[in-house]
Amino acid sequence: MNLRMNRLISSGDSFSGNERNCLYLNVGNPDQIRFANISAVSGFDFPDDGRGLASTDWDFDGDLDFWISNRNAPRIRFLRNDLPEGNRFLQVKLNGNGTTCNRDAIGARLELDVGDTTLLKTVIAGDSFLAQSSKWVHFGLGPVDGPGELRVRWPDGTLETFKALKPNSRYQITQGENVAAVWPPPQQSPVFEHREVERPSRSGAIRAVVKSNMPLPRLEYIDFEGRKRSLREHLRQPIVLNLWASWCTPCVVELSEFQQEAIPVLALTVDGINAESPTTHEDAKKLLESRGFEFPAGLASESIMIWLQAYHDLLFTDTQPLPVPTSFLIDTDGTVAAIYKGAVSSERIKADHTLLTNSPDKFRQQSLPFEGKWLAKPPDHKPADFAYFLILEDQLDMSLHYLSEFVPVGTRGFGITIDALEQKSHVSERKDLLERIRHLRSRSFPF
Amino acid sequence: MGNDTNGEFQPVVLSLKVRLLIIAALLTLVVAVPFFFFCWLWGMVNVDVAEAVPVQQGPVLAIDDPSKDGWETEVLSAQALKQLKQIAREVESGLAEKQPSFVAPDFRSGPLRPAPLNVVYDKFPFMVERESSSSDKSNGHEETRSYSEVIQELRSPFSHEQALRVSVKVFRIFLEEETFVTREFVSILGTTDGHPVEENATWKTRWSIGKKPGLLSLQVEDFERTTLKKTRPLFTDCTTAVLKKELEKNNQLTNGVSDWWSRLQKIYGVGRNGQHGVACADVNGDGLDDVFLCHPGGVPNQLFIRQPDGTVVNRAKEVGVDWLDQTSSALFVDLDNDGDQDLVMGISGTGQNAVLENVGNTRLEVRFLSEKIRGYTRSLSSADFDNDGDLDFYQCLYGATGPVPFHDANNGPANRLWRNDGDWKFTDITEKAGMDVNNRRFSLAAAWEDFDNDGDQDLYVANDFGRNNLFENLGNGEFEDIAPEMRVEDSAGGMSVSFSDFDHDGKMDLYIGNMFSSAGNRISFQENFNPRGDQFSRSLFQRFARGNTLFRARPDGGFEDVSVDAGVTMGRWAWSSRFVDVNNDSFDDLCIANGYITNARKHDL
Repeated sequence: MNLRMNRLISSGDSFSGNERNCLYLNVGNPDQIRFANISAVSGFDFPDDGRGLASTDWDFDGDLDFWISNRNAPRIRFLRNDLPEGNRFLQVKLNGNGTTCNRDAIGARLELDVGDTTLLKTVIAGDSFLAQSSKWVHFGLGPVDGPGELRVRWPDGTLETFKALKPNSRYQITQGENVAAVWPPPQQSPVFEHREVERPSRSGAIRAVVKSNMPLPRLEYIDFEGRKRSLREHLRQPIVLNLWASWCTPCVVELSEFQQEAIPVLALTVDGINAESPTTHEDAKKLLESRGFEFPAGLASESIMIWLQAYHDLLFTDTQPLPVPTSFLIDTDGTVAAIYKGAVSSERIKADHTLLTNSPDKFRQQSLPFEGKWLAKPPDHKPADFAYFLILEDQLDMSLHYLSEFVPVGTRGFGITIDALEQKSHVSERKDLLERIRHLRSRSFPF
Repeated sequence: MGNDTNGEFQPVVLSLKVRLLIIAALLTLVVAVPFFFFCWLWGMVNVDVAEAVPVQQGPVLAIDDPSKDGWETEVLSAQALKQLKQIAREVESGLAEKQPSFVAPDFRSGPLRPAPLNVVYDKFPFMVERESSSSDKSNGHEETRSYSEVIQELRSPFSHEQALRVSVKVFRIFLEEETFVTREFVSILGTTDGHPVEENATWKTRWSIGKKPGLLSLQVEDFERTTLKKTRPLFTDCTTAVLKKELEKNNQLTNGVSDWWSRLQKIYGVGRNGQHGVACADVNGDGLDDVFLCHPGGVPNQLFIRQPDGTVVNRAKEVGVDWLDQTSSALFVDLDNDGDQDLVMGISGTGQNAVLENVGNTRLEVRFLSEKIRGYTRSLSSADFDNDGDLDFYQCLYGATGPVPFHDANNGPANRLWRNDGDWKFTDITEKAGMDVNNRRFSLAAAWEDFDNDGDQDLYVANDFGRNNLFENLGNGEFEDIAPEMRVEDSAGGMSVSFSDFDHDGKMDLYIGNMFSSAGNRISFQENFNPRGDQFSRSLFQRFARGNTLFRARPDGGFEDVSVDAGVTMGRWAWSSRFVDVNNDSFDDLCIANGYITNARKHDL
């Protein structure tokens, strides 16, 4: 997958999306094998991003139902087969002896005489794609009175033969017992109503707790008095870095609430961020004054936006532009603990401040939507990742800046990042950067 | 995704320059992607996605001008599709009072349905009708119908009380002097006498070349009608009913993979493509199948235990399988022959597999975890290949770096054959078993089957970006890749494998999931596609875009490709493609789960 295509997909495009699942009917004519397209009339053709498909007679009505896993929601779909009575079936479950043949009897071959033909089935485990279907072997029989002889060739080479099997029945066959035992399904026959899978309504706002392990850079901004200030000087305590605009009502409501609840905040406005902006930073200044806002405030620059967007894009697959309001909950060491896209309540922010005192493991747990456990310790970010990501984003100056400030020489990821930066600077003919890279490298050999 | 950004907030205003750049980049890619895709095939473009090397973006720009590359046909076919879609909407609504401006004044069409139709299948509940070989070609085939007659005739068999659903897919385009011709699949779903009816046709349409292509004529080249002889569809979506308790609990099932993109750090293994499978097995030993669903990294796997009433309850935590690791596949098999279902789990991003022992039908305990390797675990398949009485398993692995060369990539990680040595020891014996040939491919799926009826288990492996493997079990613990001799190499984007004796001749046939690409079909069948290349490479590219493959076992051994005759190539962007007899007539049908990435925005790359 090409990186640029990935980027488009991550920002919300589809790629061969909304494709409907297909179902082709075998017309059972060996001389004219063309299958018939029954995708739509069968009701099988959901436009999901289908992946794994498994069949099983879930409701014991003698036809095969489907479980299909999807990339998109609903992550799994259950399709009940409502085949009317008419054609008959036979279902068989084999049990190997567990010594010369595996207990699941995987690999056993079943030959069932039906009319003047013989049907072949094999007990298998895992086929099609990322899927495993039921180990019950299902034979559709057509409208016959009854099946003929069933021959079971066990994987160890032994052969057993069964006669007088009844149609529309289920049998358990245990190797060596020479008996096909009728297996009665549960008495309770489920009746399911059809209802569309409902997706819960969303407010539109996103809260993501992040175990980032990477400090934000110094992020210098200009305040409303025209002075050059830095994010760093506010980090004596955890702070909310808030992006807002005077024309954005939810932003103003949110800031009022922050003010009332005395939540430490640094508010950077995108008013007047560039010539295209419909409003200027004067509008922002006036609004702050008229509301009596007293928290530190200033102007978001395009450079700050690139830093924050890149930081976000490294953490998440989604690469849509940050909206206003967006808030970053930042710990005293400059690492981001949570990102809120859209308005966030002050209760939420207050509650999330307690995240900052958690142990790393506890914190990771809180960055996940559900409980669960890991087979392998999940990877954590390290500052070098951000410097490396900035190279991929073609932000070479920023990468070098971040590398020299937050990635001590010789720490994990330093080498590979500076190598990559050097290569890219070389390709981009950035002689100035190459010079500084050499300088930075020389620090690794102080003697 | 759309829900996330609608309503409450507005995007940051970027400078005009930045916006123009974004628009330019988008436009470039929108046009370039189909061409880019095929230039991939040419091996012109470095598609290495390894994050260890900064990516050069030059080659994309070199191919972004369709007119220079001779692919103005892509622009034309996109315009034609747009207009065909307008026709489709008019067929749906029946509002064709005014002829659209793009339809030429002297537009004429041949008959929309061949007559008479021949019933080729009529076993409850399906009836299939096609053009009869005796259909009179001379009578009524003149192009006499006007545009409004076309709309009327297309609608005529269907009840107008229920909405029709019409869809169009353009899959061929040919330039001629002052016109061009497209071929498209046209599908209409409606009801007749209360019965669902679908008509699938291939249209040949001729267009004038201009600012807006003008529709000159229409001919129907292929036609099939299927009728369901019951009022409700064969399949009913009962997801809500069966999963009721789980759906009420949280949003784990109603969040698609894209929904996690902005909520869950990608370092946990969220991924884009959503390769997360499903397994059916009786995990708790009550005789009823349960369902295991694999999830992206950071989201726990789910084990749905079937209740007596047919609904399910997720018991992943209690059973001990609520793993957060990015999981692609799961396989329940009895590995220690104690009568219960153990679990093999394919961990995607680390190329691992984990084996868990079923303890007393209540817990699954980890007994084996393979080492991490660079590659993604995909499908798992199990059989007792050495006939020693215990089950072994095969692990497909997919490359974590780009396939090179695109059409015959052999630079992926090696798939692994794991031999069960008892006591929860598993040994990678791929090399010893002779399976380490043609084994650096981008494998997505595998299936065991005794295809040659000699009593041991052979293995077919479906590989993306190149040829597949058929490993014949030589019976001495070794395998030989005989895909070329058996004519089942199927060089294409292999996604899935399914065996069945679909024609009841006593030999197992084979269906392979591949990728159907309309863009690939449109481009690779044109004369100016790869003019320097020979016919072989040309057909290779056509093959890559063709879609799924059906191999029929021949009486004398080996297989023959009957995909086109069987009409089963069009599986779209196919994943699981499987033989299942859905109507109990004893002949296995073909089910295909497909679709790559559906996102909130309608725009499709």
